[in-house]
Amino acid sequence: MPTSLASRARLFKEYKDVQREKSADTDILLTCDENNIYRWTAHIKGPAETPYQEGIFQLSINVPEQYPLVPPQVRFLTKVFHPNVHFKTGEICLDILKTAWSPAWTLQSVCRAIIALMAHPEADSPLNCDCGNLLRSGDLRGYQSMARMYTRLAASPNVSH
Amino acid sequence: MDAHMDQQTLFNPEKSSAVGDDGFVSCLPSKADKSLAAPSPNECGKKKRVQRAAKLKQCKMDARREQWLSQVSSKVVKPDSCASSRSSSQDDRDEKEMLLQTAPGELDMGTLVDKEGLEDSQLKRRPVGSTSAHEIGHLWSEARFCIQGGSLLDKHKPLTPQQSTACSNAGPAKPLDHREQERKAGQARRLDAPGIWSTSDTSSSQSNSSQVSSSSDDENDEEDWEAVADALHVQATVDDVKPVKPADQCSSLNRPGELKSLSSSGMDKCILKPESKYRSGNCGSRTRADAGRAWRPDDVSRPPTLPRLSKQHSFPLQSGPSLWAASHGSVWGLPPPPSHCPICTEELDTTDSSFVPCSCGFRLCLFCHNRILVGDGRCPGCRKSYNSEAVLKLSRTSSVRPRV
Repeated sequence: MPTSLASRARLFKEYKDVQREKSADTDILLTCDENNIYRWTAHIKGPAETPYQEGIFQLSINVPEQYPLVPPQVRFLTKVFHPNVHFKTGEICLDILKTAWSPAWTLQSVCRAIIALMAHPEADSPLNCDCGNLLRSGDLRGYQSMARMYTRLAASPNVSH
Repeated sequence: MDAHMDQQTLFNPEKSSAVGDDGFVSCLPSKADKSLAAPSPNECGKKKRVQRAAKLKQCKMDARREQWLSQVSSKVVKPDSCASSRSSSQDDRDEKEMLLQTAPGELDMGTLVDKEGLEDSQLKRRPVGSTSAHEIGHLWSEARFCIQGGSLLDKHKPLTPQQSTACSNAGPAKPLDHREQERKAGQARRLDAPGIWSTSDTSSSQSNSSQVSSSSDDENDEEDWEAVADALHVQATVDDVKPVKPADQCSSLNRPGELKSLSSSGMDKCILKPESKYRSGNCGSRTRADAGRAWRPDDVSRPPTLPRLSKQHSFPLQSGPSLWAASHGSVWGLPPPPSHCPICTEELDTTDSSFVPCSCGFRLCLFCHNRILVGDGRCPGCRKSYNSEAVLKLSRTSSVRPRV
């Protein structure tokens, strides 16, 4: 069986699972490109009790043909002020999207991991150095107000639509 | 006191290992207890022993009652509420003791306890009014030792593990002491399971007694080990000359917030703290987030309670899936195989279903397994690399390998 077929079958199953459990997880909305099963979009809710609360963040997911043996490429389309997210490109620094990937993960679980990352920023491996420095210097308030501002500006449904 | 301590600490390791063999030693009649029965089982001697055991029990209960009474009288913080709740707790503990007395394991205790030890512990009893709580604490630990030491001297031979089991059975006072302290801390939920005096209990009572001994020059209530720990804490902050030995003390010093609050508050306040904690526990609010506590739930030095309970109640697969799966294979330790491969979503045939490539129990089809082996070779379930054991399993299913 060619790898493309395997990944296609797998993605199709994930698609069906997503459709079935749509109501179960309201924090994640996974949608597949109608013409290309390798292109997905996710909308995730900012986790509660974080500066990203009440924000809705859009992710673009590019699935390689070798999936699930290699991780999908995920990046933020919405601007987000987070130490592990590149402010301009939206690239995400998350181990499970790189070295710690396991084929047992799904697109849904990847989205869940990203929500978890938002709630627990890791300032020691920053992609956004300014944000990382704020956290490392202990300026939690500064970080929170910046992140909240960008959440209001970029991730609030009222503003974006 | 020091000599006693040495003896006790000598006993404790044996005890913990012996009790650990079956969690419910104290409540259920076990084989070990039966084998321990008196070498010459004549009826008359047995009766005497039973009587002796009952006497000893009575003595212990009296001593405990004195303790409680003295605690209530020495701590005058809201005596009415404390006394009422305490007496109720005392009642149900007395019931427990009565239950324990009827347990067959307890009868054997009489064979081991020496007459002299018994008399000693009885002689040591004094009227309540004349002794302070401090003194009673001393007496209590001494009596406890007498029971253990007596059993040693009586036999005139080295203590075997079984005998030490009986010893620890003989003294329900120790774990109950510990329980009482826990109850004071408002952690009634831990007491719901009766008769679980596991290794952790003995070890924590051990640490408790060591704390008591190191702070015996204070005027603290010795039974209240959290109070003792608090006091120790303050002492350590106040005078630096005092050697800081116990590990929990060191770790509690590491928390700056707590240290601050303690050093700002006086000694008296610190001693009264468990009392107020107790009251709050009565009210039902069991938040342990305040600073100034001896232990927090997440504290590593906090003595763990009931670890055996979780072990007994959880299926071996959950507690140690890797070992279990490795030793038992797919006979019955593993969950039923999934109908589809979690990687490629292809249906698993019979060969695939019997294929367990990793000790973590993660199953996948041979096709995906092969693809992973070509790649990074790590199990998707646990991220450990497939190695020799995977090869071993593959050889068992070699009949279908050409198909792959």
